[in-house]
Amino acid sequence: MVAGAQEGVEIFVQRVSPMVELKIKNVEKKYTIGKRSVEVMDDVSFTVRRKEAISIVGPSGCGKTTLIRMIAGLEMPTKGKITHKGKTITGPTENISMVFESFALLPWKTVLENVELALLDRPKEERMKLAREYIDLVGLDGFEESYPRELSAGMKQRVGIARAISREPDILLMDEPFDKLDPLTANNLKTEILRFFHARKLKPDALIMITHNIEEAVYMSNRVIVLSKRPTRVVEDIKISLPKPPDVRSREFLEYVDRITSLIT
Amino acid sequence: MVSKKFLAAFILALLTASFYVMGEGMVSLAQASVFSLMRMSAAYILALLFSLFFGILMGHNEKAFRFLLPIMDVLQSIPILGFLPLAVVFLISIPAIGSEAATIFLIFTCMVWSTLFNVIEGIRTIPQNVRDTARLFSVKGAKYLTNVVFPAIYPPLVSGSMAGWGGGWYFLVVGEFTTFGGVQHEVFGIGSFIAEYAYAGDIVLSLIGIWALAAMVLAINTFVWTPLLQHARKYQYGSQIEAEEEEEIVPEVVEDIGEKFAGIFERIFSKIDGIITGMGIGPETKEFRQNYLFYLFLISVVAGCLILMLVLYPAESIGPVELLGNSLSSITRIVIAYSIALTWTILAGLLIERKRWLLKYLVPVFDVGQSIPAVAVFPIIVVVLIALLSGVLGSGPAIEMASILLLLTGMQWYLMFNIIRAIKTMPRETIELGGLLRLKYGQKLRHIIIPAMFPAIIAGSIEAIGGGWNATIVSESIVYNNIAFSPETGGLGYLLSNATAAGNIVMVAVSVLAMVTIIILTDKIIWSQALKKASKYSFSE
Repeated sequence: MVAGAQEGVEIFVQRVSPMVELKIKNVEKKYTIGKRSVEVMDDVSFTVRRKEAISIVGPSGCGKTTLIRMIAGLEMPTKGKITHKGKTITGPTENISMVFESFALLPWKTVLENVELALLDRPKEERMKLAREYIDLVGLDGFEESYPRELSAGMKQRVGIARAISREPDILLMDEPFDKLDPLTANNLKTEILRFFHARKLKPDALIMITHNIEEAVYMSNRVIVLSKRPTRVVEDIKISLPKPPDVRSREFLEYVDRITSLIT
Repeated sequence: MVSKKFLAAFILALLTASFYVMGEGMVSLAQASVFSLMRMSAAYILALLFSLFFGILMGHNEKAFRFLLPIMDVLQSIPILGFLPLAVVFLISIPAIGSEAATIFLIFTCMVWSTLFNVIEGIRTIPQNVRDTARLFSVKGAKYLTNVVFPAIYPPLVSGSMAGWGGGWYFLVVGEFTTFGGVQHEVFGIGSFIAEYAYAGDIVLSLIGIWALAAMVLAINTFVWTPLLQHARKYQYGSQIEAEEEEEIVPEVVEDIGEKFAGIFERIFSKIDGIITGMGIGPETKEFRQNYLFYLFLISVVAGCLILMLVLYPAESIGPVELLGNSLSSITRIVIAYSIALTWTILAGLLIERKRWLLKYLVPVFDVGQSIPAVAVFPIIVVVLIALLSGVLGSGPAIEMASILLLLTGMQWYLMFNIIRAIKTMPRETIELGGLLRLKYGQKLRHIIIPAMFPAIIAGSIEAIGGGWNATIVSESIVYNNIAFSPETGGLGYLLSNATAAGNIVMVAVSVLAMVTIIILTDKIIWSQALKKASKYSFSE
């Protein structure tokens, strides 16, 4: 039995490879508000490898969201650069997808249509087939024709996830994806994400999540990157050597949580 | 909104120009402005009191709401000149203050509806958890009013007040300067200042008047409404949750009045309702059906009065065919103006959505544009279109075009401001989604932006069409240099204006009733369906 694993729980094989997926190099970010210039981020660097699940944690207002938006290509660093497989990110790309805290579903589209939105460049038939496949994968089989307002928060986020992964992106970004869900729903969804990430041999190749829930970070990832207060720097880059999913009551799990908590507070 | 620097430059230029043109006469311009402002304020205070009383009553009492809403709806659709006979009969004869009272009443009828409907909306969207909390801590009566109701209606009341003032400014000229039955009803103010010079053909002086009016509108917006709007944001409930029908805590007096009011009608309609249900027709829910029935009832009353008028007074009124013809020409003009307004405002909206920095420059321009009343633009439009184009097109088409253009000024801003608001409140993530999924601009338009604008377009259309009907009274009867220009094809507004000038009360009633019938019918047939559809597109749940 592996340390920190739960008895009777399916353990996923982790296959982190040395291949570099994403490189964040000396990234700085400044905002100008009126005539004032605010330094949000000061020299942040880290690397994400293939089949790694990364969590980014830090005190609130530390620029986690800015960082993930820069990886998504929605904002540009003031200095430094972010490269994906060696190519500098200059805007949103097909290979990086994102799940939002508030789901960002279009209220006037059905579940199926919301997922199809990510596949508009494919022919109609292929698009429908793929969308249905991914709706199945996230466990929403039978809800294809429902509207977002008819779904619970947990189901809405499943739609968000289906939409993001249906493009088979190299990197899946998640911006506090469980924040609006109740704990039980969130736990189920976490395990399912771990399953499709580790058990499937398909995309995405890397998972990057921001969260302010430290237990969630330790639970989900192979590495946790701890950021400091503004201007943000990397305080520590911690490798999590636990089975996936880990036993949340194990000593090892709690030690990780304690260590990260003491780094933030 | 307009920056203070811009406003200062605007006013300084006005003062210079008016001094240059009028010399010491500019004092009278200042006096006229102050008088008009006082009239507007008086009308606003009345509108506020009326809205608070009926708004709170209708917001709290479901029966009062269902009974009064259709009535308010019908009253709202009556154009300002429709109230003129009322003002003349009851108010003008009051010694000393008669003319003032009539003017204030007329301005009031333009202001009150947007404040009333916004108060109702504010109360009906108080979140259930807030109501529950108040109940839990037994916050009742006056305490409930000051702690829950007033804060809740504050933000919508401010935006409704802005719209109401806009409507008041727009018809200020009509309120201060009208002819009824050959008698000039006139009070000294900026509206009559503009009208007098415009009618006399003095373009320069009427332009100075328009300038002063625009300056006042901008100043009030900058120093009163914008700060209030910002302050009111603190009171906005984050996401607007649909209040469920439930037992409510309301001041008992209010409850009682509403109860008695509605009880009688309730009984009558449940009888009719039973019959309809037995026949297996009509809309799904009982509440909806009763509401629907009540509208049907009101329309038949209005249409019945109309027919009665036509039959009883054939001499004073006109034939049904002629009335239909006039109605159709007004409808045609409104549809054309609406199509133009819809096209340009959506295109402008899409441009603003792509280049958001444009907002900073365009909103002040739109603000000034909206503040200029159609009546005041007469001289320019008349001179440019009628004088220049009549040589090319003949005077008939030139006047038609002038009429449609004037109509446009009373319609387009409702659409524009609704669309701008929709763009501003679109969730950031929804907009970014298009970029993140790398949609082409056409796809982004079709799947995200246009649907997101849809509720605003519908809301704006309803306001624009209502505004358009109101504007027909000025756009179909253009007076310039003591000559009246009217489209040869006539129109309901033309009939109403002429009837008012001639003091023909029967014709006033006939044209108002015809207008109201058309407005209510289109409201219930087209817009209520569109609204139902639009709620699907709303981001709030």
